Parts: sequence; structure tokens; C-alpha cells
Amino acid sequence: MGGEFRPADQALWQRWRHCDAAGPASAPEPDMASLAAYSEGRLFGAVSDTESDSEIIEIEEFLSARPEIVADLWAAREAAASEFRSPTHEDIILRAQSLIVEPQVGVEPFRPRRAPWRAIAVAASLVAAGVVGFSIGMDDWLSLANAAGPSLSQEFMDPPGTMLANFDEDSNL
Amino acid sequence: MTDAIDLAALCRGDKGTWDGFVRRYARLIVSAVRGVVRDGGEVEDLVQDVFLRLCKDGFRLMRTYDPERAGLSTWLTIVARSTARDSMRRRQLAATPIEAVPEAALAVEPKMRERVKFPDRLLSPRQKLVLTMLYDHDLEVSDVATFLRIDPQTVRSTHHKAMLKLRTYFAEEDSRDGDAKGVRPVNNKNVETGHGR
Repeated sequence: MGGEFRPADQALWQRWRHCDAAGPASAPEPDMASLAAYSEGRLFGAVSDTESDSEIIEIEEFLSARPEIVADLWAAREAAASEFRSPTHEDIILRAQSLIVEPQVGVEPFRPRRAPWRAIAVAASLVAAGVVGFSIGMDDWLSLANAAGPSLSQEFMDPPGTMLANFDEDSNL
Repeated sequence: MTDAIDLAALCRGDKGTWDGFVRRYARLIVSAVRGVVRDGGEVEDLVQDVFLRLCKDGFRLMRTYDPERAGLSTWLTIVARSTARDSMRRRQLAATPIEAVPEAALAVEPKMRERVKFPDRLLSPRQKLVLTMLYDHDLEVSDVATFLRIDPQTVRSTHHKAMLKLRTYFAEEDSRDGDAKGVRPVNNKNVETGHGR
């Protein structure tokens, strides 16, 4: 400030700051693009009185409520006007570059191939199980039939003679 | 420096464009973050936070950049400083145990400030900003003029008008207080005539 203004003015401003802090809600935060445009002076028209511009009013209201953002805009203006002096380590760059990974172009998704002998083995085992089961069943049936004599096999083939004997017109069924 | 980056390819997530973008703007982002935090170890993490914020959610933030409105360097610097400040705040909150916080900081602040209720627009946003820069940031008139792209004399004039409003308002307020307490009111003339540029 360089002593251009009186300390009493500063005290008055501090008093206002103290009161205003308890005042209404703070100004809405403009988006980054608006702040950047303001920083570069792109919101200011050719006319010197720009206070009628609502976007500028909104930004300046915000800046007066959040003084630390003024420093951001200073820094942004300097950055736009000059080369950057900060040294940058290669590992910072590599770490940031790794945030985006290379897409896998032209590579088909891995699908494990089944060997054909496995399907053959499964089919063969099913056939074998069927044959063995059938032969065991046949042996059991033949042994049972031989033990019971010819009547058992005959009963399997023919219905018993008395089964339909009573189904005549006089029956009550 | 030009800002010739293929933004469409960048926002599509093109790996080559992203790598080029990172290599080109890492220095700027490091510089911007260093303006907020000095600790070298934290700078690296905060720079990563900035790049992460730019690309996350399908480059949602990056898509809001409009080259018609501002240069990429300007926009990135604002994004980087804002991100760094927010990240720092979050980390400090997370790292501070509740026992370490002074009791006074946890106390609910009674609204015992001055009972003054300002009329709307007592000061215009421009007037408030000028006073903020002059008194809170301790900037010179010439710096404020450069920032606002106005003549230094306009800065002085804006300051003068703002101070007149404040002096008048507070003089009346003090006068009402004096009347209420049966005290002689403050002489407004003494306050207003003492102003110099």
C-alpha cells in the first residue's frame, strides 16, 4: 500500500470486514472458466465502465469474499505470460501419465481352448457306463427269470387271465 | 507459449495425447502448486491430485475448458491452485486428531459481532475488491490497477468513494448508538474531511 492511504481508512475497512463477515451468505463461486476469462481480461469490453456486466460483478463479489483467490488469478496471469521455472522430475511426469492406460486394440479377449480329447473321453465314459449298466440289468433279469421258472417271464408278457374276467355286462363295476 | 493441444483427443482419453499433455504442462502445474504449498514431498502428491482431477469421470473437468474464454495455461493454473488448496485442507482435517484441536476452535461461535445490519450494496463488488486488494493483500495502487485493467486514478477514486460511504454509514451508526446511551453523537464532519488520497 506504501502509506498512500491513512491508517484510519484501513481501520474503517477492518471494522466493515468484521461486520460483513456476520452478514448474509457469501457470493456464489464462479466456474473456473469464468475466473480464467476474468484473469485474462476477456470479460472486460472496450467500454471502461464494466461494472454493469453481471458476470464481472459476480466474480468481483466472490473475489472480495474469498481474497485468497485473487492470488490464484495473479499467478494465472503470470503463468500465461511467462515460461515456467519450476523443475519437474521425470517421476512426476511418469506417474501422471500412468493415470491413462493404453487401450488394447486388436487383441481378442483370452478364451481358453478345450482339448478335443476331453470331449471324446466324456462321450466314451458315458457309452461305457450305459453298456455296463445295461448288461448288469440284463443279467439280473435273466437270473431272476430263470429262478422263477417260465411263469414269471410269461407274466411279464401276458396279463393275468383273471384280470378282466369280471368285466362283463353283469358286473357292478 | 501456445496451447495447441488436441482437446478432443485428450477428452476421448487418447493415451498419446494425454502423455504429451502431461509432459507439456507438468512444469506449469508444479509451479502453480508450489505457489500454494512449499513442502516438496507434498507437491508431488498434489500435482498428481491435479492430474487426477483433470482426467477423472471421463475428463469431466477438462471438458469444461473453453479455449474461446481463456488460455489453457491460465485455466490450468487456476485449477491447479484450487485443487492443491482443497486437497491440503482435506489432508489437514484428516490428519488432525480431535484432541489436538484447541477447545476454542470447537466452540460454537456466539453471533456476538457488531449488531450492524448493512444495507444491501453499501459497497459495490468493485469497491469491495479494491479495498480487499489494498488492505488485505497490501497491494500497491498500480498493482490493483493492473489487475483490474483500469487506470490507477480510477483505483484511487474507487477507494475514495468507498471510504466516504463507510465513514458516513459508521458515523450515523455511532450517532444512533450515542443517542441510545445518552452520549453526545460523533461529529461526522471531523471524520469525513480528514480523508486524503
